[in-house]
Amino acid sequence: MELQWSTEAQAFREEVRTWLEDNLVGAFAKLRGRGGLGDMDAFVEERRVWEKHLAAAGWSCLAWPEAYGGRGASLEQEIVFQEEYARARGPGRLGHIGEGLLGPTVIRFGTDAQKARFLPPIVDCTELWCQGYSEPNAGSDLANVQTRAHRDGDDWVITGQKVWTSLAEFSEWCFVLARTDSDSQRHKGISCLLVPMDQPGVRVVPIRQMTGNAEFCEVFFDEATCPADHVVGPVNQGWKVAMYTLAVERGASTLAQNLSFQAEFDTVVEAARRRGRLGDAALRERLGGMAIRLRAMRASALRAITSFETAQAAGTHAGRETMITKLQWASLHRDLGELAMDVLGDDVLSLDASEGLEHDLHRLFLWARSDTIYAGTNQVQRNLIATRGLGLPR
Amino acid sequence: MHFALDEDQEALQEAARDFLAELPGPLSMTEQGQAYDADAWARLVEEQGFPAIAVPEEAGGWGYGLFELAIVFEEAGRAMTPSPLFGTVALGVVPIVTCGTPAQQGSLLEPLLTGGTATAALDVDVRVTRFGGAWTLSGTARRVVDGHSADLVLVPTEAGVLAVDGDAIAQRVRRDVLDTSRPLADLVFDEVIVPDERVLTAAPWSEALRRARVLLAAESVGTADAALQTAVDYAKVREQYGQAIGRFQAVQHLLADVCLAVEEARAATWLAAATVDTDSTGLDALTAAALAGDALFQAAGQSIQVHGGVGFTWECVAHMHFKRARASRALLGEPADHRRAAADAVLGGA
Repeated sequence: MELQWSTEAQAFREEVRTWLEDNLVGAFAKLRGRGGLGDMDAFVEERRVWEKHLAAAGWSCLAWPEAYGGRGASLEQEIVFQEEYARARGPGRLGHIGEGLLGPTVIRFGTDAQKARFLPPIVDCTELWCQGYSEPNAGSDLANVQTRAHRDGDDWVITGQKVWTSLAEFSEWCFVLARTDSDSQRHKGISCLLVPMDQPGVRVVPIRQMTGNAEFCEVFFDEATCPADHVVGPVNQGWKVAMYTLAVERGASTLAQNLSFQAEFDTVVEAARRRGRLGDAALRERLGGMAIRLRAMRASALRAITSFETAQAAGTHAGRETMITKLQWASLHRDLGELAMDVLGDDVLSLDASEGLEHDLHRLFLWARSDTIYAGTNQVQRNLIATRGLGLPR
Repeated sequence: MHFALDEDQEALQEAARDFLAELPGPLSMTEQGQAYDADAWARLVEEQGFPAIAVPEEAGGWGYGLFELAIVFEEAGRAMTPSPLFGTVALGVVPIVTCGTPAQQGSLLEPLLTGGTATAALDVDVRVTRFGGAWTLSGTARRVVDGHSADLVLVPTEAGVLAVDGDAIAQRVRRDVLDTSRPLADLVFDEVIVPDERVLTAAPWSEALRRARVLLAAESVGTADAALQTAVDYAKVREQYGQAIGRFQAVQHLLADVCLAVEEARAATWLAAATVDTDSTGLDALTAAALAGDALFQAAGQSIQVHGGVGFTWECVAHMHFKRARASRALLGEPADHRRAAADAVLGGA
């Protein structure tokens, strides 16, 4: 059991912290705390400029192998970078889908031509990606994908619809799960296609959320095309590729997420303090309880990081302690959102209640209702814990 | 950073688990007034050396820390072996190491490393007076863990922690209890003379309590895991409506929530055991104590539920897990108390 980070990691942390302090200034200063979850449509063009600035200084795609433009950063370094980025309230990353999902998938399954074409623009943040997975009839049940693609000469022709596609409005490319074997069912016969967004056959319609803004979209493919060699992995074996994409996250951002939640909690406490409510015994117990859950979330994240590392090195499956984390943090964040409203008293009623506070509490309250739904609903998480974690029969 | 047991710690865990699995479990002590299995305790001390784990080498121990002890306590909780282990080590040995000088450790720990037992009084109504170069202790202590049988009783007072010989206690009356596997007794002290060398003042009692809470949390995580496993095993074999009840989502989701509570409490307990000497706010210990207390109660209660009618019977182990769950929460502060203390730590006083 070792809680300390290595001396190299500590030195790296200083390097990151200093660079962010020196660079999140001037025109970039207003981007602090913006563009994250619940705010992803904010300052898009300004964030493109910021990301190119990050890339020029070598901070994008840290964990990618050097051969593909990364720094071959260790998991420790990735974690440290994410933590310091969160601490500095760095703006939400437009390139996170390319850097964190599509890029590693192409590195693992892609052809040399695909690597040469698609990886460099992700590294230098000149091309953005969105993820074309979910459909109206394929949410929790992703294998029910209905979007179809067939070969016509040198192209794939794609027809269908994707939904909840974050950043589709601003992305140059979409990696699309499509059924390429027309007779196939469920997870068989699916391929992962790389589709350019700027073409007549692709129509993007933003979806307005209950938070009021529109961070994700419907994407309609009406005989949209992509070149025949824009398939990642073997044709009709895209399910395996998709599962890899969904599992590629190494837990690098979980501690940063915990720091962000902690900062939101601090804002909730400040809101209570300004209203003279910190003497209320019942509220104090709830605040203490939330502080405890945040600490436990951090402990669980540390444990999962180590468990994943060990499992990967040994070629085994990570244990059930890694399966509980999404259920844990999503439920925590939902409850934090409720607590945020409960400290406001009557000020719940008007949206100016968060004026002068670091975080918008109404947005937190509303946004957090989605945490228990996206990336695997709480119900799906419980199914997985029960069957894969506890061995209960399916 | 490596948030997991290392090889030696895994070996310790496995050895403890295998050893304790052979000893009598909670169903061996379901009646009021039963005695611990003396043979089991003797083996715990002689073959496994549990009381020596977190004792400095200079005082005759292994020189390990609270983390190694927490690993063993989790296994003791899993097996729920009725024994004086918790009283002797969490309420005796560890407080002596925490609050005693090296000389006091040397003299007071020696019998506890060779089969002697100990405990601490947590609910006291006592007076200490200075007389003839020593302290005189009078008053009562309520519901002392193993109070009826402990060879040594630590009594926290304004003068320090007094180490009182069992023989010097005027009255020891055993209580009828919710958790029969953890005997409790009321004690009467009648002008017990305690010389200065038996008064522990090297650290405040609150430091001993913090460590006791972490060990209780570890024990609770172990029992919670056992309750969860019992329920899972039952759900896999019990068939109704033509299939194992473990197939039904309602049962799966209920047990998945228990799994989350247990794993979260385990991670929190490991963190608390690892930071006990450095965590200035005490938040890690409070986190472990609150979550482990809640996790065990949830696990044990849901285990009864999953077992159906059988879960309500005397012969099923579920009621022992459940009674241990509720009683443990009342020993060193309820989860609600820990949440309030966490608020104080994080917000400053009210």
